[in-house]
Amino acid sequence: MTVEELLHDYVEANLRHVDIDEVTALWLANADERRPRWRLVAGVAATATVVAGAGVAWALSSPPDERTIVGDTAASPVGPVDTAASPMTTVVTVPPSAPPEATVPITPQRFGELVERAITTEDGPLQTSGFALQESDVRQASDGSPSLFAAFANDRGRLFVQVVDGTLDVATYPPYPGDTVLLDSQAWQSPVWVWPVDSQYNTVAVVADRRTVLVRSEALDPEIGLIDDHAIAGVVVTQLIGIANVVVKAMTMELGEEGTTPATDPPVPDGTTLVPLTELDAPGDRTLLTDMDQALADGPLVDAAGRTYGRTHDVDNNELPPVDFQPILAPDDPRDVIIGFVGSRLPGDSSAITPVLGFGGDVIGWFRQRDVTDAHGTRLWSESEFTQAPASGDVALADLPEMAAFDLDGDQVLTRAELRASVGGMRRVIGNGVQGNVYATDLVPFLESMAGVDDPTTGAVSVVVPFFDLALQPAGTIDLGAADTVLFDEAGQPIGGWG
Amino acid sequence: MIDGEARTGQDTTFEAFFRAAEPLLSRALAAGFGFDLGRDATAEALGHAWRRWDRVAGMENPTGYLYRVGENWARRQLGRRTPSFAEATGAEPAAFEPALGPALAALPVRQRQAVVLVAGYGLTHREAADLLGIARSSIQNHVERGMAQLRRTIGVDR
Repeated sequence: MTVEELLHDYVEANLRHVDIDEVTALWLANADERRPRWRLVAGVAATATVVAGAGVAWALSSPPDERTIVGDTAASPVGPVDTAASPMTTVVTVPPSAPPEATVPITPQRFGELVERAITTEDGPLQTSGFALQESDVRQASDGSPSLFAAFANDRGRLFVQVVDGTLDVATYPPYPGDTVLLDSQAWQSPVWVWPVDSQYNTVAVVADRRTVLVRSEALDPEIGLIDDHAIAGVVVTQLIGIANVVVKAMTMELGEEGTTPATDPPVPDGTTLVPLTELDAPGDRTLLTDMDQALADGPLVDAAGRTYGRTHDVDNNELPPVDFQPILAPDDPRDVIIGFVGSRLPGDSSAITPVLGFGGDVIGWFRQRDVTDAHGTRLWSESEFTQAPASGDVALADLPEMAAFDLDGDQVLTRAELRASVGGMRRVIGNGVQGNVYATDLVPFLESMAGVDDPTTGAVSVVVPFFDLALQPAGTIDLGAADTVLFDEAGQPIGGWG
Repeated sequence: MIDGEARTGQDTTFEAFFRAAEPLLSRALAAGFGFDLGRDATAEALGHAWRRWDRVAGMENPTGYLYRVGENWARRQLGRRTPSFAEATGAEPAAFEPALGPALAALPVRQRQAVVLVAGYGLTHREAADLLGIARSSIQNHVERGMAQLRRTIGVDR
């Protein structure tokens, strides 16, 4: 027997092929793992069942027999796969509490159609490219008809779509400055929209039945802002601060205006506190600063003019902006530190503070970027300086001329200009690890989405550049056509990539 | 040996693509990362394809792309461990050359994959190169060196 025959027989005997049903089950299992499993607020839950699914929770302020919520994602996130059906059909079954007929076959083609509809909606600007279906669910609307829920994702965030009786609602996560979600008149009694604000879904901003803005952090008691005599028509995310903070501008309108429906006071769950927002300013547009981890307790609020009520941060003394960063991945080795930039901008300050984060979420330093302007205030260029956090210990990254690729020894590998010149402006995390482990690729979408900064006019860059014990490959040996992430050498030439 | 559908993605039906691509991915990833991990990586890669089918279906070389997806996943799982080429969990006991498994494991990843795909399964150099995303000439070198090493290790002349 030849070596070739030995090889073939040995591999074939030990090879176990993958069944398509197994892939189906795997996909569903992964969708389950991604779902947060917490209930929003006990008090709210007592009035309206709130089930968090993929960061989106639905609630209804209607009597219990009209609840739209079915099932519990923690117990039964998605129904079992009907293996008798076509392998390409995910049969999503509404949990037993719902009518058995509420079973809808969902195919990728169907969701593709939904995406097409979603990105052309007039509900607001959306990130429109490269969405892929992540998970789906079917829920029961108040009239008993099934509503279709789907979460899509691209490399910058997630898109939630709900279709109820042909009406499409769309929300994006994470919220980006300028993102708008308007609740149409038919949504008066619709489920609430929930925006997860931080990466772990610990903090959410909720707009419920147009009258209530609820801001909730896992570690803090919930606060509810109620705009008396005004209905909340929608929410505009106006500013992102760091990671865990977002400025939400609630757009209000007078009750009784044409096209709106006067509403009764929303139910107030036991144990919650209502905070009239009329303390802020005159009725109209209002801005609510939801600084979850630090500011809620102090009650800082920023009005539409940018005035801050409450505590702010002393940028001049190099105080770090609020950062609540959770580890994304568990590195195999503590030395596999990944350094990340997360752009942020403090209210009322023209300089951008960019924390440099270690893999475990610790801040090892930060960049401050300042705009150099002429006498008219026109920005001429930006300057950056790096300050090493006192506790960062053995990491020495001081005095880098600008944000750039660098290794853990502080050696600059690639300047920002080179990076941009190499990829035509495409911002991608580049890097590699020991033995070719590509930890960085998993961090890319997260940090890019968290940063939300992609403005070449300001030079703000949100790039993660991990380098540790690089294992470079000769240029030209890798087809980068399918790569989402590209690795460059010191000369700025692409030498590898990952899809 | 690479099915045209798997290579070109002309058939946009995932099921058809699955049938064509799964054997290739299984063999390449098992050769790279061991039978058990390679199988899991194959499932992960194909699950990835399903999640992003709209995109994957339009690729010029979807199987090669998914190979890299599975490869990245397997590397993350593997960490600094060495892939195992002991007989797979649940595999039927068989009387194979006992030195073959260790000899395979001792080969560099690319050599092992090239040897298995080309010498073991008869893929052309071009097909193996497309799948693994490396140059055709590299495949040829890997096969020659890998086979020579295997023959030396297990003591077979041809």
